[in-house]
Amino acid sequence: MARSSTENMITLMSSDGEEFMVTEKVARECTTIRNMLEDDCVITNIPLPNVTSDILSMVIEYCMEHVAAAEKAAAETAEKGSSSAPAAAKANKDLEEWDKAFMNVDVYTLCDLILAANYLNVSGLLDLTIQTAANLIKGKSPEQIRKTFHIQNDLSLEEEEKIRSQTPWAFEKSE
Amino acid sequence: MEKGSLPDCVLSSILSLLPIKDAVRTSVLSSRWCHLWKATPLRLDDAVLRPGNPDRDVGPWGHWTREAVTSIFASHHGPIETLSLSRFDSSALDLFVQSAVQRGSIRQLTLSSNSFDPFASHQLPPSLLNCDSLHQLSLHGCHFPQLLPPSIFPNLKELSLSGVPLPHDLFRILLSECPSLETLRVVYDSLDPVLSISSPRLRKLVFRLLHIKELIIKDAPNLESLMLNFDHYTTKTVKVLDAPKLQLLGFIDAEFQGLQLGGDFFRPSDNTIH
Repeated sequence: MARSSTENMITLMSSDGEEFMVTEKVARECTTIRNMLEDDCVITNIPLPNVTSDILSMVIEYCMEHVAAAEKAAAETAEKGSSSAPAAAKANKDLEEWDKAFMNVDVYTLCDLILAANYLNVSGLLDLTIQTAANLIKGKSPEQIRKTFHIQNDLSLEEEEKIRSQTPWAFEKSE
Repeated sequence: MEKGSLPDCVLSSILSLLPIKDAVRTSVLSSRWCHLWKATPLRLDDAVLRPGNPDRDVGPWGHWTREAVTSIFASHHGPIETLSLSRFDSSALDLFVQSAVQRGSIRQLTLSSNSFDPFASHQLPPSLLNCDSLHQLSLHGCHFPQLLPPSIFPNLKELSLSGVPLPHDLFRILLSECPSLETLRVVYDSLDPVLSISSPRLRKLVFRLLHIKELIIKDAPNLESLMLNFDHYTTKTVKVLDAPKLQLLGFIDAEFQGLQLGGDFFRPSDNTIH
């Protein structure tokens, strides 16, 4: 991505003490950080005690990719005077493909990414991760979902039976 | 999920992306999950609610669907955002609509009464006419109560009516006494050969006209698009007297399959009286 020397750099510090230098533009993709910068414009070092280094590096990777895509689209619009619809559609599709590949992670990483996206308030990443989680639940039996997400069933047989009897139609064997 | 322990609000967001059947199924995952779906904003469309074995829900008023929707309404206690009901008779519709309106959160409602008898068509409950959360309403095979308050639908932006009787009084209220209404799709039938329209706020009007010989747009300062669909070309004249913002004037033939303009899709069959 293009990085001009005049661009402000921000240091983000993960919970395990690792530092990540990013451009202000990338940092601003996180609404939580954007709000901090707007409250205090001289801030350059931001500790993020809720995000580990491996997850933070992924969040930054996501933000950089999306900032780069937006900058590329803006540059093309400026160059041609207007954006060409087929080029924009292709760029969107490329970014979707990138998102899809980015979501190829195990379920623990997915949950940590959801937590980080929620805490840092990166709306695009939050939408992407919760949609991925929803896709893992869709069409699955309760047993399969528990296994996928490592959920401990603490309900007694009687309790589970009672819940099923309230909405029996949802638990029919199907498809 | 246990390890990362996602907060309830995040789990709710995940549930809201699932078809209702999948969301309800999560209630047996663990004690933490059993009430989560019940507080998640509900978006329910009975057309996609189907039993695993389709033979169990035969007939237009499927027993299975009725049982499913009844149990959803009985268990769910969170806000209802969108509701689309097409497989119920009038008494069931009444129950569900009143219950949805009472919760004060419904934004989008689609009702299609399944009654084959026009005299038994569904009468809208008065509470729906005053519902201030409602933004979008589509009605088929229903009718409005005879006595109407001077102003209805305080925040409604979009209204589509088909197979809904449209007496003069109601039509006048829709044109000028719905404070937020911007888009109106209606079928209008009258013995009076001339129809004159004045509307201070409407931006889009999609019309199917029956037995009207002359249509006059008298005073519509905000009207941007007017799409017309005539009955056997009985309408001979259209006069636009004062509509300074009108950008689009279209005529759709009954045989025409559809026209898409940006996000708007015009299809004459939408406006057919059954």
